[in-house]
Amino acid sequence: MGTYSEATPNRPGTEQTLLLTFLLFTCLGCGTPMAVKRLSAEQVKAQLSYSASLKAYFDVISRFADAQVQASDFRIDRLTKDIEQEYKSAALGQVAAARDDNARLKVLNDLASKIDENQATAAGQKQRIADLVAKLKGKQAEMLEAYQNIASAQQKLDDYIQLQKADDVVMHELAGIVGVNRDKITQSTTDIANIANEIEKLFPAKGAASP
Amino acid sequence: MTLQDIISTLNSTFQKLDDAGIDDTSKRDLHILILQLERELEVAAFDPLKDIDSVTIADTSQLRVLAQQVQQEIDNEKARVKLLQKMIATAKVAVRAAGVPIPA
Repeated sequence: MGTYSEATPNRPGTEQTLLLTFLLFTCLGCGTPMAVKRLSAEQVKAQLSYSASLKAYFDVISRFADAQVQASDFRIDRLTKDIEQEYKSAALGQVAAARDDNARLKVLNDLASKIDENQATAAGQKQRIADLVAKLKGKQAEMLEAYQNIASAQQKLDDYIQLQKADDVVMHELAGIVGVNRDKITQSTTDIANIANEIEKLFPAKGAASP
Repeated sequence: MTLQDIISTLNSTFQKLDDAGIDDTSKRDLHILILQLERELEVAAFDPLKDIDSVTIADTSQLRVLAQQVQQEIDNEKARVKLLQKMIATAKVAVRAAGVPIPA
C-alpha cells in the first residue's frame, strides 16, 4: 500500500481513473474518425450531384434524339411523296398507252399496290428509328437507375458512418466524468495507435518469413 | 463504298440521263431507286444505336438487399447506444450514492 492509496482508501485516485479511462478508450477505439466522416459525407454529396448531372445530360440527349427523329420522319415523308409522285407519273404514261379498260385497270391496281407498299415501307422505317431511339432512352434510364442505386447504397453507408456509436457514447460519458478534454484523448489514442504500428514495423511478428 | 457514295453515283448517273434528254421507264426507275436509297439512309443514320444492347450496366440489385442489412445494423447500434446511455446514467447515480463526486 502506497501513500496515495492510504490517503484515499475507498476511492480510485484521479490518476488511476484517468489511466483506466485511457486504457478503456484504447480498447474501445475512438468511434469513427472525423476524416472518415467528412470524406463519406462529401462522397455522398458528390454522388448525388453527379446523379443530377447524369439525369440532366440524359434529358438533353433524349430531346436531341427526339429532334433527330422528327427531322428524319419529315424527310422520309417527303421522300415517300416523291416516290409516290414518280409512280403516279409512270402510271399516267401507262394509262395513256393502255389499249383497253382492263389494261388501264391493271395499271391503276398496280399503282395502288405500289403506293401501299411505299407507305408501308416508310412506316416500317420510321418504326425502326423509333425503336432504336426507345432503346437508347431505355438504356439511359437503366444507367440512371443503377447509378441512383449506387448513390443510395453510399448514402446508407454514410448514415452508418455518421451514426453515434456505442464507443462514442462511452467515451463522451467517461470524458465528462473524469473532466478531461475528449479531443485530447482522441488525439492521444491515435498517437498510441500510430506508435503501435511503428513498433510492429520495427519488430516483425514471430515466425514471419525472413529473407 | 458507303450508302452516301452510292446515292451520289446514282444521282450523277441520273443527271447524265436527264441531260441526254432521255425520258423513259429506266430513268424513272433509277430516280425511284435513288429516293428509296435516300430514305434508307435516313434509317441508317440511327444504326449505331443498335450497339447499345451490348452496353452492360453494373448489377446493383444486391446493393438494395445489403443496404437493408446496413439499416438493420444502424437500428441495432441505436438500440445499443440507448441501452448504454441508460446503463451509464444508472451507474452515475450509483457512484454518486457511494459518495464519489462526479459531474452531472
